[in-house]
Amino acid sequence: MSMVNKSRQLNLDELRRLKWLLGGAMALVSLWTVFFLDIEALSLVGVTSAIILAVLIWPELPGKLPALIWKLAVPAIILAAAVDFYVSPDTLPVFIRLAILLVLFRSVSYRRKREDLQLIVLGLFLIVVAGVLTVSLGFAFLLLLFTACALGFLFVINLIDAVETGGARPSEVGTAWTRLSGKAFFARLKSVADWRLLTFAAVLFVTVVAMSGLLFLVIPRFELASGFFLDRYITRKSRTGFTEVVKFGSVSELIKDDSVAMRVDLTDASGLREVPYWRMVALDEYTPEGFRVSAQLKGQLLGAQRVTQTVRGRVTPIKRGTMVGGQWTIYLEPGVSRFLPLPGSFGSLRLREQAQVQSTIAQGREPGRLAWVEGMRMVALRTEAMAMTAFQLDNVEMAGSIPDPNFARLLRGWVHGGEDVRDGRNYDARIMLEGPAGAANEAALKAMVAEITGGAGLSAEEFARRAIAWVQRRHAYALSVQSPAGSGKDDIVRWLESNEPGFCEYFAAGFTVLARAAGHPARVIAGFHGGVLNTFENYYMVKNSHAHAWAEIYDGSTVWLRIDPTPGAGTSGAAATLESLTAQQERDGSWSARFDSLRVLWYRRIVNFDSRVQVQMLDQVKTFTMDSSTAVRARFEEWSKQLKAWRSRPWDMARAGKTAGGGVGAAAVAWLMVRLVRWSWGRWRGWLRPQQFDPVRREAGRQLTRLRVLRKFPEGGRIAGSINAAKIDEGASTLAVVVADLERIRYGRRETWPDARGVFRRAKQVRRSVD
Amino acid sequence: MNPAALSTSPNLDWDGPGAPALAGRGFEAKALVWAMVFPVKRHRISPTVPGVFLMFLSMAIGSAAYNTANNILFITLSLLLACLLLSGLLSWFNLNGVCWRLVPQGPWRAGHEAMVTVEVQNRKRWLPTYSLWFELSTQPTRVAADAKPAEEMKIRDVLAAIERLVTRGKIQLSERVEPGGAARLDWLMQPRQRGENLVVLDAVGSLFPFGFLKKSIGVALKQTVLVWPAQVSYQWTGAAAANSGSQGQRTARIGRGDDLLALRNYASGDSHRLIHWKASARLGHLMIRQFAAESHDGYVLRLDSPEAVWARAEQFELLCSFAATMAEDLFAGGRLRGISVNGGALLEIRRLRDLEALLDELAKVQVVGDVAFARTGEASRGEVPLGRSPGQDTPPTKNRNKNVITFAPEGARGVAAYVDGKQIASA
Repeated sequence: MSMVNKSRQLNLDELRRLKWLLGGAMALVSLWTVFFLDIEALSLVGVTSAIILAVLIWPELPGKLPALIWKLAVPAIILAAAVDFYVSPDTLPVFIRLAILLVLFRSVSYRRKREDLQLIVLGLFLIVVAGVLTVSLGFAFLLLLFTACALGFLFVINLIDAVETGGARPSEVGTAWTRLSGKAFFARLKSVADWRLLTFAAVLFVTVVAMSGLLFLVIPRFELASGFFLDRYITRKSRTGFTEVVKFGSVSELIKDDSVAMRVDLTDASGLREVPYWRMVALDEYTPEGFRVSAQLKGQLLGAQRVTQTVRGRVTPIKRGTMVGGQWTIYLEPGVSRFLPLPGSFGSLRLREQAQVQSTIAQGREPGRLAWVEGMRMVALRTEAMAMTAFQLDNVEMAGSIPDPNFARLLRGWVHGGEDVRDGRNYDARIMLEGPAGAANEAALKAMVAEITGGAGLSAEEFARRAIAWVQRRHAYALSVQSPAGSGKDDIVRWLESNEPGFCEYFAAGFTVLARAAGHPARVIAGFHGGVLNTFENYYMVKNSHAHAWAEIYDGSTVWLRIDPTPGAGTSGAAATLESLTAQQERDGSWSARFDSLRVLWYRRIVNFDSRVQVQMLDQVKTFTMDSSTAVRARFEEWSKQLKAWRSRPWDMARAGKTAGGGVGAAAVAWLMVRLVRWSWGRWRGWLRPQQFDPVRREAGRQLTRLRVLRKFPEGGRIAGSINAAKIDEGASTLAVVVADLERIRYGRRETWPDARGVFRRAKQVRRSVD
Repeated sequence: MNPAALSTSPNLDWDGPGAPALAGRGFEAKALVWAMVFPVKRHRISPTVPGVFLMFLSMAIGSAAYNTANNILFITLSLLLACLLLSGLLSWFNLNGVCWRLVPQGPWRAGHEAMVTVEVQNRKRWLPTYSLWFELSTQPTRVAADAKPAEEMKIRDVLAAIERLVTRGKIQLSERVEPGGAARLDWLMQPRQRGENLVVLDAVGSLFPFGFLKKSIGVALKQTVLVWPAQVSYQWTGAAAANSGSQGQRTARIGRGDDLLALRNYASGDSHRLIHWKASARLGHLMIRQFAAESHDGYVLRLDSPEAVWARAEQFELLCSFAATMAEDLFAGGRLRGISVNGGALLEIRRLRDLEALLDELAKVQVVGDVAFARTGEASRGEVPLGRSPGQDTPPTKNRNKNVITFAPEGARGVAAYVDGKQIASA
């Protein structure tokens, strides 16, 4: 093939080098998504990335390896996967590690077209698995990057295919391209880069993203959700202290962590009058190391487990005015806890997708038995979620107390017998009265209780008030705690006896053991307290540093009262003012909050998008369209009226002059704008390619364009405007000469140019003669 | 080869979305949308293996997305679908503004390699065009009798028999065509038989941009080409049989003789010895002398093709090839005077153009009914005077009957050439 208009293009070897580069970049992007997964493959990803980077820089390296290594590579990978499968407790990480190894193998070996496609599929597998399991914003970014690389990769493959099938080169994979110097290759890439093509590629990529966004919105959704399957094949351990066991000190470690644990969207934040307590897990059993969820409570939770998307909350209706926040959407980050944070009682809890849910709230199955633990108010997923957990709460009431009339009956039944509650299947409420065992502990606690109560029998509320005062009088708040030395007594008892400072866990645990020693059922609650408002997207960010522990005490007959004995955290059930909440919100306008708002947008618009939102969106589009058309029509009618009114006013010379002046002025401004745009365009082109920018050539090109109409009539009849044959010939020859001169100026070498000014003048004359 | 068959006009031969004849039509969104609903005739889009795989992958991810209501899977599905859409869009961009035309390069000769050039122009202002391929075919417009499928054959056999006559090829545009640029692609093939051949650009296709979809535009751009008879080897056995020293006409051709034949303008490379100085001085520019060729007694070929004599198509084809080869050899030796086909008027051969016309004639000649050839035996051995068809009684001029070469079958397959009843060559 011979090119008439030969241009700068990459040859086959350069195209192969470019394909190598894009394939490697694509492999790296897909590998890096594994970083989001938090599985035991990070070191493997690191090593793999380093190897791929090395062969990207030195593509000749794979060719230096003996052929035997390449033959043994695949069996070795299969063997490694088999061993991994045997050793690993989870299935999915094995497949991910296998995919990583295969991506490595495909990335570093010289590929043909079929193997190129395999690399894309392997990369896509990694990306999709990581995205599905993590639902992180970073995944979205990497997916876009992967798409760009994959499209470029496919494009180059197609070009190579065309060249090879064109017969220019044999189809077998040659390695001559590996010997291209990297520096020279990039210089060559730069030299062949065309701004028009790059702009077009960028526009196309934006178009792809826009199209996929549009498709995402309009793809019909059906509620077929049956729970996702991948999470069954992978487990995750909680990084935080919100497990069934909260040891002393675990919450304090969290307090130092400033990352966001959850985000909360409220549809109506105006009614929020107190700093919310995000209640997650109730720790009912005392151990010398700390409080934990008792085995029987775990059994109750397990017994209530079922696959569902919606958990019904409060059964009895409450007053409308006490409900706050409208609809609460909570996005809980992975690794925080399998227990869901609840700000209070709620009407219903709806998860983003079906999951195995454990709830102490009656679900209709064995209501009689479960009713005993309803006062625990705990909702948990069966396992730690790999991805962000999103759920919605409605009809939320942020009361500081939890009604639990059954607990008194249950406790009476276990303590005094009767009421048919002494059944191994029922929750043994006496656990809420158990504290540190041993004579020394009991004596010390008895002495402390006596000091608090003064020997009087106090109500739970009164005891709580005095106990808080007593504890806070003796202990200050500090993040670092040195447990007093001693033996024979539990840590918490020694701490209570001392004047050592403590943090929320110590205060909550200390209060609970005191309350239990005084005969009041009590428990420690772990969760979060507070949150800050992200001013960019108006949602609450609850950080790990908001982790908190507090206590609940049973009033003896009907309710559990929230008691927060930690100094400065708020008193028992006392609501913080809106001002204090606002004061916290003001601290949050940083760049990190700005980035965090992107994540919430991702959660709101993408991750949480479902058929209900789709219907809402369609309704909004319909409403917007109708409103807009109505508004536009009204605006046009108004303009029409104004125009009619303006036209019907009496005309005089002054008004006519003003109107004409205005028209001329507008035309002049428009003309100037056009000139300005053209001038800017020319300047930009000149700046971009100074060697190609020549104002004289451009002017010649412009003149040629103007004469193009005339050149369609070579007989020159229109030029002469006459039937005189001589004139026709003269016009035609003049036109031909002018066009030839212009073409010489436009395309010819500068040394051969005629006088440019003269040619332009003659071209103008020719055009005028036609006009 | 008939030059008229290759003549192309600058604008009218172009075909394709960017052809000048269609250039003024402009973009019509309605037409584009309608074309998506109801594809244009002969426009085909079919998925390739990667395309099928992509669709399968999309379906699998879509199923998983619907089953799990997982938005990440929906995003992936959307991206895959968007890539498919983009693929179609880019393919449309790629072909838009592109036009092509067929230029068969002569001469074409049966059994010899011939060339067809496809000229491609990209008339877009901004975007280049990549990775096009052109599917070409050539086939004779007339099928020899023994090549025609028999009536009792099955459809499949008939199609196979027809397909055997067709030569197909595919040429690939391996480099991009810049905006406003052009490219030429050559297709080399061997025409199988003489006669009128149809060169067809069947389709223009592309896998651009990602290789998911194979887009093919049925074109059916046609050019008719004359294929000269094949060259055959033959034995010249009877040169002595020719009438030497007869009063045959002398050839008046340019050659290396002593007689001045004509003057022509000087061309680069001409010997200075040949400059005619007087004429050059008179005309003001250099003129070159041309001499006549040495005079030889020439031969006249007489080719008659009565059906009764040339019943076997294979033998008749050999006759045409034999006559063409002999004519060329005689012309090269300056001994060809002319040819008469089927009793037609004598076509005198003086220059190369005459020889080409002769070959064109031989490319088209067919067997004719034997009504006019009652004395076939006489005619076939050259005993019938030139200028008179076999069966005619009126003799033509006296000298025109000298050195007339006629042809007759020799055995079941061969062909022999005669002068005055004497065999002078055989093939």
